[in-house]
Amino acid sequence: MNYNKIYSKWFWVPAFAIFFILFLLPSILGVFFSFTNWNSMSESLKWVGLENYKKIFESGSSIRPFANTIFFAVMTSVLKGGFGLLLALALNRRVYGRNALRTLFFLPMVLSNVIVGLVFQQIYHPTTGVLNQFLNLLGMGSLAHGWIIEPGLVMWSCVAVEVWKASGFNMVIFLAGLQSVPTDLYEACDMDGGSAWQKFIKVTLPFIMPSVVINMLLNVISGLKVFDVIYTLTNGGPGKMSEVVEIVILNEFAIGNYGYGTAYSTLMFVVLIIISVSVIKRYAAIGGDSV
Amino acid sequence: MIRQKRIANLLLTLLLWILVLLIVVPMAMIVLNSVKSVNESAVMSLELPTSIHTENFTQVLADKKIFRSFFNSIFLSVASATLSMLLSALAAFTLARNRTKGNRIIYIVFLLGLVVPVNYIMTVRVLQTLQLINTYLGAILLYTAQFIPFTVFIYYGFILDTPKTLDEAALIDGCGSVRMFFKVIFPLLKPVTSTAMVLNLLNCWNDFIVPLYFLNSSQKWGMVMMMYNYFSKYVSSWNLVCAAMLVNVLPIVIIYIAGQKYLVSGMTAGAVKG
Repeated sequence: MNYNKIYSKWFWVPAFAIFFILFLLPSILGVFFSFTNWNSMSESLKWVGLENYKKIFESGSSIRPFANTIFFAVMTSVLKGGFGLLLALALNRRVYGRNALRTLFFLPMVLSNVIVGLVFQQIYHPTTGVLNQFLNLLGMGSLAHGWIIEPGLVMWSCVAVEVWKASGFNMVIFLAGLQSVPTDLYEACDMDGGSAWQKFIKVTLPFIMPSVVINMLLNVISGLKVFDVIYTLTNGGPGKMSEVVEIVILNEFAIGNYGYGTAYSTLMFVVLIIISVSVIKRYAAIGGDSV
Repeated sequence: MIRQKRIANLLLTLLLWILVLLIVVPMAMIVLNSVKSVNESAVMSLELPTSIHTENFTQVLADKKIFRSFFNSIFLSVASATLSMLLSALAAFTLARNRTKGNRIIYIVFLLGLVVPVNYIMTVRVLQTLQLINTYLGAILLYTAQFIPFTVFIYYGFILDTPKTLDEAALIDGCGSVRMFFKVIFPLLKPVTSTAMVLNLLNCWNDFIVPLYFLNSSQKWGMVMMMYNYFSKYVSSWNLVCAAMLVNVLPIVIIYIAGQKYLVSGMTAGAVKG
């Protein structure tokens, strides 16, 4: 049989065309436009070489959004992974109401980031917010803070919201990974008098390593792309203390600095490709299925 | 030993149910405040309402803009989820069945879409060039473009596990390849199709960025964007904002509860397959 005729390319061309023109092509074009002075003021497009990138790296103001984005990506990855793993280990046991608990812990994942951001803005409110009122109630009023108005705290508060929202997602992936651990290995470990910790390190962890890798990869990717949670929670404030790269891009877009904004996008494009390719390569080398 | 284990499990259960309060309380706040009076909801607290104001909901739904945006959301979500599902299933099918070198490269290019960020500024320019900016069609195609990579990915893995002899049998019986796909293969892909639909419906329903960059006219906004706008307008009327949020959240919670199996299995299938 003629495979190329039966499985005609016209089956994949429509999907590829839409995906390419509206997703990949803009990223590729962006690389070229990031070397121009493209903006809303001047009519003519001029090649400016590395000017936009120089501006990004030389101006002191762009360090913060990059630092914030990396901080957010790293902290949320670790915390979501940690809480997700603990929840999965707990919910893999015979606790009462297991399915209800799983459903509830995952639930925030399906809410819109806009709603989550707006509600937490209220929860964090310095005087009327539920968080500070709760602390006062417990007699720990000294711990009450202006969670999203104190410059030193604001990024932590953003991280906390993301951890609240997406730990359940990590949990679900870990739960799937835990099903691959053969129970007789635990029994063997019991026979040999292994402690719970030894069981975890020697039996559980090696089997769920693929879940760890995939969770971390997905967490880092989504962390670096973070936008709407922070945009609706703090809008980058106070001042620019919680600005992340995607917020800078929107702001540059709004004031018409298209070429400059696109340079930021292109940087993110390159960084994300490098991270993913290296993780996937290493992951494939450990023995996971390569994509 | 067994007794000890039971006590440990009991304590763990207790701890988990206390922890789950952290998840539930913020959501309960929305519900509580959606039925309060303006004054009571001025500070969004956890206090119980003194009287139930269901008229908040009628007031929100009577707002023509909110009402319209609700149907915009339904239209955009259903159209883009369906389109991306159909196109991705077809694409994954040929790519998984006929794994030539070229087809593998195409598949890997699709997977790139799982990783790279969207260049929004440039996409605006491309949509302007195509004269699709600020149109429903443009928004639907954009969502579709963004959903295709993951959808192709989950279909691909599933199709690899369906026997190829089915195709051959259908072809020998005289089916063309299009009919073979829709009559024989597509029905078998139902679990993935459900996953793709649930996931993409949710993602589209919750999206905030496409209207922000690509839809200038509020006429075409989905509900999330309209709510954000509503929030800046009625910033002190938290009862109305919360009622609007509930109206927005209700459909997705229903989809989530009904389609939980597919949602979770789809997400983990992707993760386990790597």
